[in-house]
Amino acid sequence: MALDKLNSPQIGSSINAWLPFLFYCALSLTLMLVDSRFRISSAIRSQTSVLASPAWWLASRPYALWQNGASAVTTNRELRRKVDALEARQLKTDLILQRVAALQSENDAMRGLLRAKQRLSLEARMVELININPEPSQKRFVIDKGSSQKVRVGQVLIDAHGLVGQVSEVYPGKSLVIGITDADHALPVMVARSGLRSILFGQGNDRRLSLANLTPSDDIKAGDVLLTSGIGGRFPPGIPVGVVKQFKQDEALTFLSAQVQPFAHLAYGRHLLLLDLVGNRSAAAPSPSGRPAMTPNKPSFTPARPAPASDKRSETPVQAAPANVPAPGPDAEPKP
Amino acid sequence: MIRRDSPALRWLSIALAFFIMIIPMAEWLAALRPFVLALVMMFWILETPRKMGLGRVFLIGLLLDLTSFAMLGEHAFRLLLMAGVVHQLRNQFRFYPIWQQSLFMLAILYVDLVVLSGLRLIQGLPQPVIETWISPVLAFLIWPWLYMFLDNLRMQSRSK
Repeated sequence: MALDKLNSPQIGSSINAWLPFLFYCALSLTLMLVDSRFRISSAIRSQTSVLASPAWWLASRPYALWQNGASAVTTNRELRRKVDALEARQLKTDLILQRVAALQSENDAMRGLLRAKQRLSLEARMVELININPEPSQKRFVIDKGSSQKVRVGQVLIDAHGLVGQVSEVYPGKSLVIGITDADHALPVMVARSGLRSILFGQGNDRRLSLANLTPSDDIKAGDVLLTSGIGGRFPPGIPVGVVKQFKQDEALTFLSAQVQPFAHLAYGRHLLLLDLVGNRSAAAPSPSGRPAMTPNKPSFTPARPAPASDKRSETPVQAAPANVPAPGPDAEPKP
Repeated sequence: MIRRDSPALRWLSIALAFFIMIIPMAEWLAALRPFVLALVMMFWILETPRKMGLGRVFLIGLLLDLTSFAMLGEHAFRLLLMAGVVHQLRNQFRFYPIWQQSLFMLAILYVDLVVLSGLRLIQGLPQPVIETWISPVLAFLIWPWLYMFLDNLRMQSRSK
């Protein structure tokens, strides 16, 4: 390699020998600076993902083998017991679902009476985790569906228990997901009991999220369940996120912050559900600039975007309305 | 007579160490994961310094940055610093007893963690988790075995 001819094996023997070392150090520091300012690494990564994909695939083999091996040695009896347990659970969920179906039709009728827009239905598809970020403080991982499977930036992932994260970068055949527990992630949530809205921040820890800047008069207490509020139009409303555990006073004694335990089992399992919004494109599509409305790197919260003027009114995102307040009818629509 | 090393063993061991760095693991295990790639790289700098120049070190680091979702240049910079020190101290280092080499690795990996922590601080990224600070001890324990294993393989491949 031409680069190596520059280097004598012993740097320090003369001042010239130090030059390549300083050159490469300066180069890598410049790259870091440029990357932290302009986020070039995601662009480069999506360009080179064809090269990185085999590496990710190979690196995930030991874990996949481990899981396959574990399933190969499960006995018939264990499987039967599992099937029985699952069947019992299915019966219970079927019962609940019947009630939900009745409630849903009732709700639809009432929304019709109030001339509120109908909620969108969600469809989910199964995706597989391919790799996770080796750095434990960052909660990012790769899934096996990408732009060729019509995955878009901002789509939401859940597991059987709650919200997991959102798609932050899409490559052909793969996507990068940022988890809600990532230290750079912010999520608009709502207390299920009182309707209090707030922003939930990740902490880089799988068992802890933080709800900051609460005042003592806010109606929230330990044990409250948090749902996505749907504000911002990125996350569909009503997805369970976590439960409030305990409160902490900040140094100035003016605000409280709450510790929240996420429902999703973020450190376990290989399969997740990717949510697709059915019958609505404007809500889930990335903003016109191509950047997500809430970029993972900026823990800022953008309010609901006004719908572009060209959009038909029937297509404006209804998730932007708080769940318990009926959205205004078409005639009451505020001007963008 | 100087026998030439075959590059196959070098690149194979580097590739293997590279995969160890990006294999998904449970969180506590991932935090304890020693910087194996740095150890293997330093071994080859000690043995065949001309074949492991700073340009190659830089490229390996950049590849690791791209595949492990790190900030671009982060691993490259950390590996370069270590490579620079080892290139510099190579002549003395090769005559150290192996436990002193291990101690040296322990020290250099701790310095590396301090560098990492500083880089993260400047960029406003989350600090490495606390268990990460145990990982150089594991590297310290691994180094003698890694050294002997690679050295053996290298001698065998040369004697053929």
